[in-house]
Amino acid sequence: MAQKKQNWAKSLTMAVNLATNVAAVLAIGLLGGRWLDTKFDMSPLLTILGFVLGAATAGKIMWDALMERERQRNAAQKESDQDQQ
Amino acid sequence: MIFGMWDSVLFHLGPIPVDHLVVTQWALVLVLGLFAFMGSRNMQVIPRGMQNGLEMIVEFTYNFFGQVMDEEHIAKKYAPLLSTFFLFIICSNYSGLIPGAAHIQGFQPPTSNWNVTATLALITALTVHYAGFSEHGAHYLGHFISPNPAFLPLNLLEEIAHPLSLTVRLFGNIFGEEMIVAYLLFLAPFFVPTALMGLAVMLGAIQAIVFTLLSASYIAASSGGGH
Repeated sequence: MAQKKQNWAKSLTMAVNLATNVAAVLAIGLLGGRWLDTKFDMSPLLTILGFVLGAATAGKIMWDALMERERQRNAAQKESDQDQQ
Repeated sequence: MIFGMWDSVLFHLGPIPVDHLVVTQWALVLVLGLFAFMGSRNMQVIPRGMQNGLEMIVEFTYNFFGQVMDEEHIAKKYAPLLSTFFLFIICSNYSGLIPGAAHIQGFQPPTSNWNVTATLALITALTVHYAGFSEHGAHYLGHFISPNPAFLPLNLLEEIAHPLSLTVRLFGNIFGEEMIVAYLLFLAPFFVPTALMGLAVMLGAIQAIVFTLLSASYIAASSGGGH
């Protein structure tokens, strides 16, 4: 029961975290780049750079979430194997 | 000036303007503080009445955060802060549902203003870094260049995104819900907004849980063994 509760909470955290953080890093990258472009008059170079940075960070966040999920699945599998033995 | 923040000043405390949100927050803090005081002023070995309820809340939060954060000592250290977040946010979210709340002077759900949600997110962000430094010392800085120094800008952007997403999610949901209910009440005052207010009860609880869970997961990540 405790394990189920833990999985519910962790899955919710991971899903919400992934969705909003990906959106947030893309927005920060793009809007930050656009703001820097207006400040230094380099349009559209910094907007593109900001977007690329945001997209790369979004990819990293998704990769980290995938690895964390794998780690949790392996830990659960190991625990269940130990219980069976 | 943003979102009518300075338009709703109730009175001044010297040079400091006090608006509706601050008054509502004082009321919430007073209610929560009184509840805690009444439940803990005459502690018994065998709990009764309000002490029973408070002990149930404390035990539940210790167990819950212990499971979410994996390490019990970290959960016990930060459970009081996280539980306070949860209680404050859920009471703030529900304060907009009290009948006639919009018509009472000095009464406005605090979480429907981004200044309040940003403050809560900032406290979380500071706690995350405090937890990281207190568990790992200077080694905590190493996670900014993990897996290699080329990832520094990406890791920094991710760190900035955490408080921003916490702020915008809570503010957006509660502000949006408040606006929809207000417009529906204006268009059709009877029965029609009921369904949405029912949904708001669920939404208020979900948003409080999500904010607290995410704060717990950020603290666990910064203080965990991965650094």
